[in-house]
Amino acid sequence: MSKVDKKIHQALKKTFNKSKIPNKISNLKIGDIKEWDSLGNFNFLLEIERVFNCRFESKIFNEVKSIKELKKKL
Amino acid sequence: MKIKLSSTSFLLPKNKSWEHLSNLKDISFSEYGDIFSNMSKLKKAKKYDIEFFMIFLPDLLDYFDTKQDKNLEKKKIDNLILLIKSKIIKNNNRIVICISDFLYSNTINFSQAPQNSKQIKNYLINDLYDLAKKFKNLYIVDIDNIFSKDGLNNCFDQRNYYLCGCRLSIQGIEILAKNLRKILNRIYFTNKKVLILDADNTLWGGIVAEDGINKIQIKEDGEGFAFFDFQRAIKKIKEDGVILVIVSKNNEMDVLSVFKKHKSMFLKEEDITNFKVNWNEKTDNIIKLSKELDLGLDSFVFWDDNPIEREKVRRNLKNVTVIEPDKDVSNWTRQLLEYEGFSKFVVTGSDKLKSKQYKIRGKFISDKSKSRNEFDYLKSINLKPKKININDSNLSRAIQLSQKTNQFNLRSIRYNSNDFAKIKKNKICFLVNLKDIYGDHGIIALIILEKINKDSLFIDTFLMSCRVLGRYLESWILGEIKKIALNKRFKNIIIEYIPSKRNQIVEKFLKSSKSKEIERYKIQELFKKHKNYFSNKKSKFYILKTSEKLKNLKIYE
Repeated sequence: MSKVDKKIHQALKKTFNKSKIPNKISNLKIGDIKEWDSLGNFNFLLEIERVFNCRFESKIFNEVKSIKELKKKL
Repeated sequence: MKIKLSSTSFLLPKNKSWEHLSNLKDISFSEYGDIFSNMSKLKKAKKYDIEFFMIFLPDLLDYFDTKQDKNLEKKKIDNLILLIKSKIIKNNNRIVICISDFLYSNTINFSQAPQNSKQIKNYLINDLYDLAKKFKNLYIVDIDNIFSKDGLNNCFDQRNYYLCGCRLSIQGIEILAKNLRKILNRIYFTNKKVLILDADNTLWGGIVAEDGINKIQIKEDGEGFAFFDFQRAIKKIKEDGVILVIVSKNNEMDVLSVFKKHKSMFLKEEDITNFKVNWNEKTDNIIKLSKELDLGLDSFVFWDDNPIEREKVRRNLKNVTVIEPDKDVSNWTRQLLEYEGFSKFVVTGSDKLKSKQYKIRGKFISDKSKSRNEFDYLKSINLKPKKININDSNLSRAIQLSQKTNQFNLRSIRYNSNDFAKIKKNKICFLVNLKDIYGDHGIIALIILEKINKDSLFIDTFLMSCRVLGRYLESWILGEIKKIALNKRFKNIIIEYIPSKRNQIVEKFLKSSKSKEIERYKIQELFKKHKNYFSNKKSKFYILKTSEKLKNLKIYE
């Protein structure tokens, strides 16, 4: 797992702590994890901001619904 | 513990930042924008131990409306206050109201005319503080004030607001959660009571035995100002009821001479309840202090400039809180005043006398240990206990005693102001004040009694401050309870003792009194209707016949 994937995995684990996060995350998208609904997506992106020490513009919150889309923005 | 959070804006439920408040399982969030219907739902509120309401004033008042109608705005706020008031009157749980008016600021616009939102916030907060004086289950937090330490712009996030209706940033939620946690902690855990201070390089700069009294740094200006100001802060917390003690490895005469002779000392000898200035280990001195003051080690806070001493206390006395003082003395005053361990919601008149009262206790213990005959000695100190009815002027003290007394407390049941309103109507209750040759100890005991059948009077609450232990006052109080029982023609006094970590002293007293232990099943059979009283599995029960003659009452005759 790359450094970036590790950090994303960590953020997924922290945000959706009731669910089991698979090791392969690159194809994951909203809805694949029980807690990953629209509010979960918002909380997940806020956690990503914290882990990567970055800030997303408003429009990115509407665009990013999967790990693939997320990685393009990081 | 069940917690409910409601807000005028979205609060990002399930976000991990809320874990600073409590386990997420214990927090329920009301529906977005459902704050007012939540305030009026009384039955559901009973499920929660504590309810937090986060009010963002920009959600209620339209600050962009150019034709702002001030009367309409005032009406909205008045309605909000009414709603809060009716909730507090009808509900018994704790309610914390957090208020924010942060929206935008403009230096020019608000340099000659006040910002309307600030005036509205002040109006609301002042009214709520008035309510809080009467209702002790209401707490108010001006959250902007707390956010300002970290920067309001860091705590609010317009992006989050536009995207999901949450006005706060993650940092803001974290700070809010941590501060609500502080309130929760103080509601459920008592504050620290004793500040242990070192002398050299703590109360003043330099070492008195080496530098001499004239060369230590303690002045109203220059380098010594930081120490002088630190002493002023210490005095401030002492006046709020914290007991000050000096634990210093030093020659006692050197330290005392600074207190007696140095003109710039802000703290005086009489401010210090106990001096332990010797060459013994500080940990030994602290254990001694804990016994002399009859306070658990968890009541103590240790402030010492020496990292080795701090480490020794940390290792050997795990219950003592050890402060890590800032490297720069200039920051100590702020550090001490921002330390929340000593803080309490209300400082009562009794708190202000605490330091003096513990000094009196020290003198009492020392005199008592020197006397040959305990009875003669106690007779000689002219003990004058007095029963007092609970009224508006002493209600805060009654609540404080109920909430905070841990040692001599039969059942450790905690009551708040709403409970007392009911107790005053339905039960017999009184407070006890004690005076003796050492002075006025203030109100030191609370008693609540309830009739449970025509023959039996139940002791709902019997608690007494540990400051006055050793005088057999508990026997006098039991005697007063017996008098009340006899007057009302009860034959038995039923006593329930619920053991806790700290109240073993009660069991000793009950065993030495004329009351007799009775088995649980017998008491449950006798009082089937009052199962709620007798359901605690840890409880032990005692019966005192009103015909019994009690011990130790001659001291008070």
